[in-house]
Amino acid sequence: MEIAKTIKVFVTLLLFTILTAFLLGKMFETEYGNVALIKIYGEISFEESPFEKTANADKIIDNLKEAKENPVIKALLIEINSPGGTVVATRNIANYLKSINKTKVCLLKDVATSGAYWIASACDVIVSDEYTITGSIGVTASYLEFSKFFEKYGINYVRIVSGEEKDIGTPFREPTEKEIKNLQDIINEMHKDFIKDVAENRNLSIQKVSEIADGSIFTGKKALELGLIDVLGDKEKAIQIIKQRTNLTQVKLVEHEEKISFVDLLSQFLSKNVFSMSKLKISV
Amino acid sequence: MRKDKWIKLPNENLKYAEEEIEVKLPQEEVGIETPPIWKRAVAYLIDLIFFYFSFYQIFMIIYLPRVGLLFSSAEQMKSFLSTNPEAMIKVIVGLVGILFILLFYFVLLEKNFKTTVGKRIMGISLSGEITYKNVIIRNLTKSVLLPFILIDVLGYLYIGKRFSELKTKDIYSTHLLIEYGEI
Repeated sequence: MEIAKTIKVFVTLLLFTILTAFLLGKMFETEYGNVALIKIYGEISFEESPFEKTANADKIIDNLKEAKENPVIKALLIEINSPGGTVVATRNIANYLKSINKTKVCLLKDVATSGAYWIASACDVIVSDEYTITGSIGVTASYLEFSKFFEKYGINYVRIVSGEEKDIGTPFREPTEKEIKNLQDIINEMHKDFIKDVAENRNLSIQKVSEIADGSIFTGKKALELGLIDVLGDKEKAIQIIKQRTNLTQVKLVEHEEKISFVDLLSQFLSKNVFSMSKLKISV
Repeated sequence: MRKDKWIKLPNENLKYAEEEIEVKLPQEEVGIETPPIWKRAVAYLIDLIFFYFSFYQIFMIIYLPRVGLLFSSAEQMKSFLSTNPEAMIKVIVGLVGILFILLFYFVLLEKNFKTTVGKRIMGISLSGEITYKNVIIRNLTKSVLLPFILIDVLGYLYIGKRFSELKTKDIYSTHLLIEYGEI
């Protein structure tokens, strides 16, 4: 009787334990993925716009940091659909990506040009569709200049500066030759670094990259021939490559994304960034 | 049976035999006493150890994989939690669940057997009116209200027992005093 009672009590306890574990587990059930999906959509910069999708470099780096430090994450899938962005933002992301010691596979979507390609080149493998537009290895600092327009309507730009080149890049007057040369030198320097990085990342010679780094865009098919990407394919292909390189039998993607609240959206709308026009911006 | 209380008697049937037989002496419960606090503390620790190696493991085996917190090392878990702070809530919920199971362990065993595994080993049992309400109250600070256990135990300084036992004065821990009779 005593033994039967003991068994009964311990079995009750065991069932209670199992039920509690099961119910609590069900309530907080989560499947943590083993591959971080990080999307870089839109123009890359440190700014944000409420009117269009932009890729905020700080937030992307935060997501990359999370993926880097998370022991559950074994690989990264970087999805890029971007025309490029500012030089510093792009370089920051590319350099941080290079510091991550996990498998990085990049999937190019519709467009991955200029700075977006710079970031892609920092990955281990680049997968692209045949008709993805990529390339455009180059730097631009073009801007609108309204001096003739102002002249036409009698608007005068009153120039008060402490140095001759203090207002370089202002849209309100024509740039001098010296200013254009200065800007061009800066652009050329950045361009050289862009070429050097791509050559190093893609294991190509600097000469070969220089030949195609005149800003030309290429389809995915052409990019494959030039050695700018590794394989033609889609997301499934990218996942397959991840499995091969990491020996994972199952890939569970976990998207690292930032959730924007209504208050954030409103504050972006009211911020002065929305009203900046014709700002000199150096982009890749 | 405590074997040091067994005595050896000669076998009267064999005159020249040197064989001895062992005889159990009669016992009689002569009273009860409150066990010292150290004995109760040790009994509690034994219960915790037993619980850890049994029900705690079963709980974790089922719970952790479901909530995605199964790691191969504590370092990995620490690293994961530092980058996913929102996952702490799952750890906390799991711990609360464990504490409730611990309460259930004490309640069920004390109600049915007047003792637990640890108490049994230390020779302690309960006496008095053992109702579910009483056993739950006296075991709250040993389980779900574990953060308050030190406050509860302070009762020993002022009233000679835990504060929670004020509410359950009808039941108390006992330590059997046994005297051995003579042949």
